[in-house]
Parts: sequence; C-alpha cells; structure tokens
Amino acid sequence: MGAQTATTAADAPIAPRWTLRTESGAVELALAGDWTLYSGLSGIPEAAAAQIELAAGQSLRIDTSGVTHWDSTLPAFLLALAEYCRGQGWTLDAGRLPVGLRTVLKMADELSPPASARAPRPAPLLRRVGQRTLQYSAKAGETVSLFGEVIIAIGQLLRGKATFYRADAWAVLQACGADALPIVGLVNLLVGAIIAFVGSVQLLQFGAGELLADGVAIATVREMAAVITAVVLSGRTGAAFAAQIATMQGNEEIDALRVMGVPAVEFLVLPRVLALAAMAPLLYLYACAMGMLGGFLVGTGMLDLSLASYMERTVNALNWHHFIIGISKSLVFGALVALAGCYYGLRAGRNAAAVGEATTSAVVAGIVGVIVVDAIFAVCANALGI
Amino acid sequence: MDVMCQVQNLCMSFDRRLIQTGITFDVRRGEIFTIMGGSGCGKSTLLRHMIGLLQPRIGKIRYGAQDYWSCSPQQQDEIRRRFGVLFQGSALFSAMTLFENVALPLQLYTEANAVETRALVRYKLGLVGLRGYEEFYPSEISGGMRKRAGLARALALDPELLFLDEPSAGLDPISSRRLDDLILQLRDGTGASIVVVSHELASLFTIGDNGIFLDADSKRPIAHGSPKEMLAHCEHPTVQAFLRREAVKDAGTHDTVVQSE
Repeated sequence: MGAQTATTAADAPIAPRWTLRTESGAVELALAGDWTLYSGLSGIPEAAAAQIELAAGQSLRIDTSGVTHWDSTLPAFLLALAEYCRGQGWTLDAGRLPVGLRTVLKMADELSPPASARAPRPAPLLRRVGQRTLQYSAKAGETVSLFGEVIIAIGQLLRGKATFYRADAWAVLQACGADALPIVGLVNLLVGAIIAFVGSVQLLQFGAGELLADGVAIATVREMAAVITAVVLSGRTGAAFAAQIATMQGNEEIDALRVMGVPAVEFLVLPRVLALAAMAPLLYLYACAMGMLGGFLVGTGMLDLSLASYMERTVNALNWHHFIIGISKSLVFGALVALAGCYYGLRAGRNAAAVGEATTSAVVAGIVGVIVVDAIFAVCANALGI
Repeated sequence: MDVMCQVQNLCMSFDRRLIQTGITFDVRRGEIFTIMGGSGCGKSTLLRHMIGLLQPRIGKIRYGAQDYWSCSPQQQDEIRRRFGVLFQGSALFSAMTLFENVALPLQLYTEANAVETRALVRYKLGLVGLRGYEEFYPSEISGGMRKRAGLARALALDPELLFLDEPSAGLDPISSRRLDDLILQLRDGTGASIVVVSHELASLFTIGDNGIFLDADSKRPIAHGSPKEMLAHCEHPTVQAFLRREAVKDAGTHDTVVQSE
C-alpha cells in the first residue's frame, strides 16, 4: 500500500516479529518488522494466537510502533486475531494503531456476517437420490412441454399467426443448410470410401468384388448418410443453437422477448426446428451422392470395376424404400437436433460457464437421440419388412 | 505529492473516428481523480487507455518514470500488476465463488500460502462489507454486491492505482453513498490513488479531489479541477449544464454524434 511503503522500497524485507508483553496487568502484543506479503509471514497467525492467555472480558492491546512496512497482510492478520479473540470472549484494543490501519480495520470488521450467509452441508444420500429423481422427472416434463409448444407453434404458423422475424429465419436456414454443404460433403465422401475399403477386403476373399457397389449403395442410403449427417449437424448447428440461445438468456434477451409478448418458442425455436427439419433431408440426399461417390472412387481405383458396371449395380441395388426410410429419418433427426439445441439453450443458467454446459448437453443429447431414433427406425423397418 | 500517472497530449480514436484529443493531466498519490462528461464522450475509452487495454493514437501515458507503450511486454505486465480495476459490469468470473475470485490474483502473483490467502480474502471481502459471502457465486448475489465484490478483487494485490469504471451505476442512492464512503475510506486507509469514471453528480461532488471534463462536441477536455471547483469557477455552458443538471440550449450531444458519423 502506497503511503506506508514508499520510503525504502528497495531494502531487503525484515522478517515480521511479534512479542507478548504484560505491562501492569494489561497484555500487549507488540509487532515489529515488515508485515508484507513478501516478507515471509507464513504460519504466524495461529502461533501468535495460541500463546495468548487472557481471562474472559480482558482486552488485548496491539502495539505496531515497531512495524517498518505493512500492506494488507497486517490488517488481515489483525482481523483474524480480532475474530479469534471474540471467540474466546476477549476484546481487541486497537486504540494505539495508526489512523490508516484503524480505518481499514474498522471497515473490515464493521459489518458482521449476515444471517443469510449459508454454510454448505452435504445432503444425506436419500435426499440426494430423491432430488435427482425429481430433477429427472421435471426435465422429462420440460422436454415434453417444449415439444408440445413447438407443435402448437407450428399450428399457429399454419394459421399464419406465428410471430417470428423473417430475416432471422432466413439466416438460420442458410446457416444450417447451404453453409453445411462442405463439411457434410467431405465427411460423407470419406465414410463412403471407408465402407468401400473395408467391404472390398472382405468381398474379395469370396471373389465377390462386384457386389461392392450394392453394399456401399445400401449402407449409405439406408443408414450412414442420414446418421453421419445428423451427427455433423448436431456438432455444428445444434451446438450453435444452444450457444446462441444460452447467450441470449444470459443477456436477458429472452426476458425482453417475453415482456414484449413474443413467445420464445415461436420466435426462436420454431424457425430453427423447421429450418433444420427442412434442410436435413436435402443434406441427406447430397450426402448419399457424396457417400456413393466415395465408394465409387475406391471401387474403381482398387478393384478395377468399370464405371458402367458400378453404376448399373448401384441403380439395381437401390429402390424407393431405401430413400423413403432415409429421408424420413433425416427429417426426424433434423428436428431432434434442433430441439435439443434450443431446449438446452433455453434452460441455461445466466453465466459464462452455463453457455458451455448448454452446448455440451445439446451435442450429447443430439447425438444420443439420433442413435436411439435410428435404432427405433431399424426395428420398425424390420417389422414392416422393408 | 508525487505523480502516480501522467497522461500527456493523449489522442484517442477508433479507426478514423476521433474520440478525444489533447488530453493532458496528472494523477497524484492519494488523490481521487474523476473523469467526467456526458454519455458517449469517451470516458470509459480514456480509462481503457489508462489501464493499458488500448493504445493511444498520439501521446504518452507514464507511470512513475516509465512510458507504458515504450516498455517491453514484461515491464507492461509489471506495471499493470500495480493496478486494480473495477469494470463497469463487475467482470467477476461467473464460474468461481467470491472467495476464488478475490484469491485468484493472490494465487497468481504472490507467494501467499493457503492460510494467508484465506485471511487476506476475508479481510478484502470485509472491507467491502461482504464478510460471510465467501462461498457465494456471482449469480447468487445482487448487482450492488457484485460491484463491491469486484472492488474487493480489484483491491486484492494492494494496488497503488485503483481504476473504477462507473462504480455507482445501477446502485440505489444508499448503496451508492456507502460505496462513496468506502472509496474515501480506502483512499485514507491505504493511500492509493483512485481514478473514477462517473456521471453520478452526488458521487462526483462527494469524492472528487481533482478531475477532467471531456466534451463530446469539441472532442477535447474543456475543464480541469475538482468537480466543486468546476461548479464554482468554470463558465463553459456544457460543464455548468452537466453539473447543474440543466438542458443545454444550443447543440446537444446526440446531434453531434450524428454529424460526426
């Protein structure tokens, strides 16, 4: 602190010392040396306190005339000492302290801790289990009600009554559609190539290399294109939705919308869910093309299959069922990923860490949800025999 | 009194938009220096220049004998370590408790052990009247308490220079008054110099020892001195209108903003 340490700042620090004196019945704690952070104070506060012996009601006088330099370390020590003395039923006599020190000490000691200050106590196991259960059921309720609200909002939209900002909706549509083309294309091209590569090694053992085109086409169109695209969208678009809405939450923007009478679900969630549900099938078709291109490159490059026979086998292997399953899957995946992003964004807390948590939860929920829904689709398709 | 910080012929601009020019003043030890002016005149920008976040277009900012912008990055870090800054929005780390917020600079820059850190943090939080709130997160306390917690963090390293950006904005009159008292007591108790950006008149008159008035129209400082002196002696109509809460007759600040852009 400025004034007290100004004179001889360059000197080597003098170690802080303390002595207990008894003068005509009064106990005095005399402090000397440098009481600064850099003078090696470690350990003194407890050691000093332990040696003081006073009867209840007596006071401990502090003498700081021997102190050469001090910073906050000294008042921090005196404050701790004052609290200790209070606990023992003694009082601390600060009458002889310099004015500056007395001022800060009085300020720090003035306001007693409020009754509302909490003492964190670990709750018993049973209560924690109960609380966790209630949290999960509440969360399930919230998810269902958000889903319901979106359905109602779609109804409003169909009746032409939904309030949302057209420019924002277009921007979302572009961000989750056209802007995703490069990454979706690259990932699906590579996945198609990997399927062809792994498949060709197996098929060649049976001398059935020409079946490669069938395998790649069916795997890509039925499963991989839809799932891989949904996973990419979850990491890309779902995370962006969650981060954006969580930041808006922290910024009181959601509250502002609510006050203006605009339902957050119509304004924010509806355009995002519809945009992703509309774009995911289109991206899926593009992903199919890219996946089969990847397979074709490996097939013609490694197995010397001809362009014509690869194309012919691909066309023969596919039928409309595969595409209908894929398109309906990606429609559901798109809506699911967008809902997960918006849901975690809307229920985010109001700080920086909450944005990170919301994004993580949105991506995890999106990917897990996609895989689970995919499994449900597989079971249904099997039961229906398609 | 020795000079803690010297601003010499400072010119501030964002790209090609001039904010203020020709700013010269000294902040002396143990003084409360107020930066005044209407909204949008560049008060906070001046503060951001003084704490080394923005580089001046022209001019120098000196701390002691050192010119901040001709120092090496290490020297700049050392100079900045002597500052305490209370940001407008408190800027408490939301993922940390108040204890962790105040303890962070101590853990980063001092050798203090756990016992000393605890005692120091309790003392700093006590100074701002937040004893007992160590384990609270910033989101669990009120705006005024967050301001005070931000002040406690600014005080953590016993700064020689304390910068406060709108300390009483958003506080009720009673909390605002208590914060003024706190600033005065801190100055008396610690001997630190304090630079305050504010347009709260009551607060300015209570705490200001010295100051500068930035004018948004002419883009230069138009008055120097303590707020009380300015009220008594400065005849510039904008300064008088500001300090007396009157409407300016000719051009308001809003008009000039439009013209300059």
